[in-house]
Amino acid sequence: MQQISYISIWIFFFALIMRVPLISQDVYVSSKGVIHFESDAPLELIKASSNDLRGALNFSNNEFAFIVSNRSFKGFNSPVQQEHFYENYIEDEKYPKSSFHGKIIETIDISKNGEYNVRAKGFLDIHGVKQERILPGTINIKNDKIFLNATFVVPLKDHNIDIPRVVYQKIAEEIIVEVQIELSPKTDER
Amino acid sequence: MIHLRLFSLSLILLVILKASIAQQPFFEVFDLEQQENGLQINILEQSAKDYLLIGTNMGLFTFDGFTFQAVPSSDSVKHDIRSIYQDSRSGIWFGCANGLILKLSEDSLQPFISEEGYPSVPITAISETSDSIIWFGTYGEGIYYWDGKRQYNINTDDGLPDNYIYDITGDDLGNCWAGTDRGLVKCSIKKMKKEVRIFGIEQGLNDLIVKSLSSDSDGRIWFGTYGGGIGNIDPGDHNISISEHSRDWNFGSVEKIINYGNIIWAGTAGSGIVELNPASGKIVNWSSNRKGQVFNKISDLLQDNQKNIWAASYGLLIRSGGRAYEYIATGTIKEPPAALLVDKRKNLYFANNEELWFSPNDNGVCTSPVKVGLSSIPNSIISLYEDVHGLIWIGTFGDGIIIYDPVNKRDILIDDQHGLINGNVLSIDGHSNIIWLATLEGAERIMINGNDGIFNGDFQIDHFGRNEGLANNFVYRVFIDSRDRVWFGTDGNGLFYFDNEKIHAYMPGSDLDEMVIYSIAEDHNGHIWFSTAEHGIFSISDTIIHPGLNEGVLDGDIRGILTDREGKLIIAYGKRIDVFNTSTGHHLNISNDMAQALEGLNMNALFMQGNEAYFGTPDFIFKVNTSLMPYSFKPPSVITGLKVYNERLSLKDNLSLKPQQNYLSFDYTGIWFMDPSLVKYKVFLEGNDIEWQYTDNRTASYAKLAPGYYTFRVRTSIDGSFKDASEASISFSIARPFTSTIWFYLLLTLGIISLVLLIIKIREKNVKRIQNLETEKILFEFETLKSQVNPHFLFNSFSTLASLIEENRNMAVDYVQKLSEFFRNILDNRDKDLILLEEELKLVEHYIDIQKKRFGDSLIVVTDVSDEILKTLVPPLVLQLLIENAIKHNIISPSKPLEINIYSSQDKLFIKNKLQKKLDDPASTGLGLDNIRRRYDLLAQKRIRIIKDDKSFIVELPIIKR
Repeated sequence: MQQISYISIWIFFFALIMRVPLISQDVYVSSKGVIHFESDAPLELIKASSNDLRGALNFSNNEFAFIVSNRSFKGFNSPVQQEHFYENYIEDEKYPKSSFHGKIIETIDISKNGEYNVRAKGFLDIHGVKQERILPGTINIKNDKIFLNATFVVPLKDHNIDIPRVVYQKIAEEIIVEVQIELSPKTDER
Repeated sequence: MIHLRLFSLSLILLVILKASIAQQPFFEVFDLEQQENGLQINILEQSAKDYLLIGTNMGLFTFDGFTFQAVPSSDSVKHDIRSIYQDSRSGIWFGCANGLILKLSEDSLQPFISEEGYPSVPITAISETSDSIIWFGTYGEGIYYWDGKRQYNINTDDGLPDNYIYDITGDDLGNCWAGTDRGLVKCSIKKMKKEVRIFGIEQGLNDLIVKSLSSDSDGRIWFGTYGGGIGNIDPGDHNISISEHSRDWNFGSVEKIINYGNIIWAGTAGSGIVELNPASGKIVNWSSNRKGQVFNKISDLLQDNQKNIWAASYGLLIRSGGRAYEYIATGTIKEPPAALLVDKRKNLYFANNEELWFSPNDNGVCTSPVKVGLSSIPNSIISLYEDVHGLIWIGTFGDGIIIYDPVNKRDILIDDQHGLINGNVLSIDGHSNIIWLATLEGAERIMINGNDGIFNGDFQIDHFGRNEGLANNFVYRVFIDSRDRVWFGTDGNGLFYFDNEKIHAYMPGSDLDEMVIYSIAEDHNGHIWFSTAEHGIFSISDTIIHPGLNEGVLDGDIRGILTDREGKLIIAYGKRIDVFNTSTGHHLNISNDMAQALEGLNMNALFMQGNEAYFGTPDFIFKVNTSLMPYSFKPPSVITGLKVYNERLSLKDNLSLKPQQNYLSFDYTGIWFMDPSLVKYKVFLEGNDIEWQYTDNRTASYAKLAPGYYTFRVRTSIDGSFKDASEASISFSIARPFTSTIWFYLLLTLGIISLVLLIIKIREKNVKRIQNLETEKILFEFETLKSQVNPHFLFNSFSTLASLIEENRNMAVDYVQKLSEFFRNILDNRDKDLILLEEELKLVEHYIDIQKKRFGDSLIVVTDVSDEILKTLVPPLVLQLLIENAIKHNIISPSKPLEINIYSSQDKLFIKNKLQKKLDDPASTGLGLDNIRRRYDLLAQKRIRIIKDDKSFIVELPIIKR
């Protein structure tokens, strides 16, 4: 099942990046992307981030997606912690990617510079569990560049990530995730 | 062609309008634009505390019948409120035009915060499904729902036909129904999966554009469309039924539907309020009231829990009692009717002077009255009655009685020529073929044979007057009860009844004998009620019951009484009409602002049919349906505000106030929207008041409340009886100031105890000191006396005296005098604690003189004391003792004279002598010095000092000042 969801996202990416010259002026892909998460538990603050975030936004139909490889998260407090994250919690061998795929509810005029509050409605896919979400964020249009920023909460329970009782005090039940993507119009030179 | 059609359409409309205007409910109009220019009401809701919530483009208002109160919002913005919903947990939600969602909390609007943020388009409707999910319909972003944790969205991507939602409503099965431009939509969430089902023309809708939704008590979902009228759908089997009258709907867009009794009221965008009666198929609309105030564009309708129907139109808030209170216009007829009758087909007859008017009933609505053409023109019509055959009996003032056959349009006059004794027919009643008349000369009984006997002359008239047992010839009222007894009300001779072919006085010998009886009625229990000219009303069952002022019934000016089928008694006075619920004892004044009109109410101009009462006034006929009234005439009591020193506090129970917050005032309201001026209050502050305080004020203030626990209670009543009155209460406490807390007292007691203990201790110490001093003094005295009378001293003195007697008699005398002087001084001073140093020195001088006689110049005493020190105090005989000591212990001889110095330096007194100890120095007991030391300690808490070296012995005495 989760295999299919990745396929759909990949198809979307493929469609966005590889072809469709007709609407290419509406398609923006990430030139930079950072995802950062924080687990603020009573006993330990765990932080990690990845620069391997890729995103895309199609203004013709407001479609929006981002995807990140779970193995790319770095910056843990210790190598052991990182190992636990990969193997016990996110289980990256079984579920190598985390992603979001949806549509922005508001309609935005990309020809106008400025900051817009937007909400993206879609599916957040973490640990093989898809959850429908509305993610609030901001879009900042500066000429040809679009900066997208979103902060949201991921309850581990929603994605079937179990915390062993022993480390209950060390891992928060809700993880705060921040996504920053810089998007540029997709160029079609090749 | 088109013009012609338009013309004929407008003609039809005009006819409809004219026909429908003859009877309509009362609409009371409040203009909210007076609050703020440009204000428009979007939405109405009733809060759990019974007051109205009014959502406008300029914020939220509450209305308690008296005042419109703006509800503040935490961001001080006057939000454009488009939707209000009170959920099953009494949380109140508000949706704004800018997409903001608010909730009411502690009397102010607070933003509803969720991680997902707010829609960016207007929130048109809010509802809830049985699974406690809150739904939001938006104009542009589809539907949102909130499951208590998170917001989700349903839009065209999920199968919604359109993202523009006009209205939503939740049903009992967990479905949310939505109206869109593209049909009616059913949404539900099953195991986190959205299900959307669309109903359009193919499924049976009469118009694809669904503007409004509501659910009725049976759970059916009613929908109002843009152009196709209204219909409903069963949420279970999806069976759609369209109201018959919607086939050619010409009232425009339906903005709101309410189900009210068995009828439907629809608020329309251009034709005001449209009433549909599914039973009769009748449809009427009203867009203005009697005063000409227009409300053609309805934005919302609401039925409250007191059976009022509210409507909003632009800035106007409109209240109506629905079909419970209606008026029937009598057109240009301005004379108050003398008699009124509603026949079995609910056609209305009323008469004034010589004219009889007929207002035919068209499916529940009385149409414009027309004159009934009678062949015999009476002088004045004063009574009307319909018999079993549908014939109308018309009683006249002096001209006998006319019987009118409305079917065959014929009439006949019965008067003295037919044997009628008196032509003044004040009242008519009958059963089957027997008709009774009340006249100014007794009662007449007309017995008719066959259906048409009256017109064929086949009838018989019997007279009942004084001779037959009716004490008075003036009979005002005749009434036949359910047991076929005929009752007569007379002018000053009380009540009579006809039973077993005989007339009997009712309770002869009682007060009733002299009463003037105007009207008689029978209630649902078969009890007879009657009203009198000056003594109020009575009821006859096993005993006579006379409800008086205590029950809210006035004695005078009663025009008549009526009874309905549910135990309500209607009492019509000259200026008001009361409905008296005989089972609850509550009164309801229903005349509102009609006092003036009712002044012209004639005794026969009130009529009851079933639960419908009619009253003929000069301007209109007032119609009341008692079964549509609220069951209980009890206004709910609500505490609306609490102020401490004019500062508003939020209303919370068990409030804790500081000791100085003791000036309180409470605002409260008894909500009775129909006529708020009727509401009376009584308040009681438990912990302060001894008894309930009765008041018309809606504020109660209390000053200088003592610390303690209080409960403020308020009860309301619309008839002043306060029977089973509803109560609102709020408890609070005023803290004790610290000075009256138990801790304070504890501390105070502790303080007092320790103080007392301290005093006791000090006293004890003092007493002990005084005791010690006493002991010391006695000891000292003893010592002194002992030393003075010690054999050596006496022996020495006597041998000196003996030698003196031989040598010089005069000197001997002098010596004895000095000796006695010395002893007297000792005796004089021994009792005193302290003496002046001066006196002590004098005493010492005598002593030295005595001693000098013995030692001659070998004893040298030098005194050098400053005048200042001379005035200080010393314990008596201290210096004497010290000198005596010096003499006792040292060698005194011409070769070794003893020099004693008494001198002062600064604040000290010194007694110094050369140290030249005798070889046979008597062992010093040290008693003397020790005694001196202790005396100084006890008397002045001062220490003496002894400075002793090889050459001298010095005693340093401290100074005791006076």
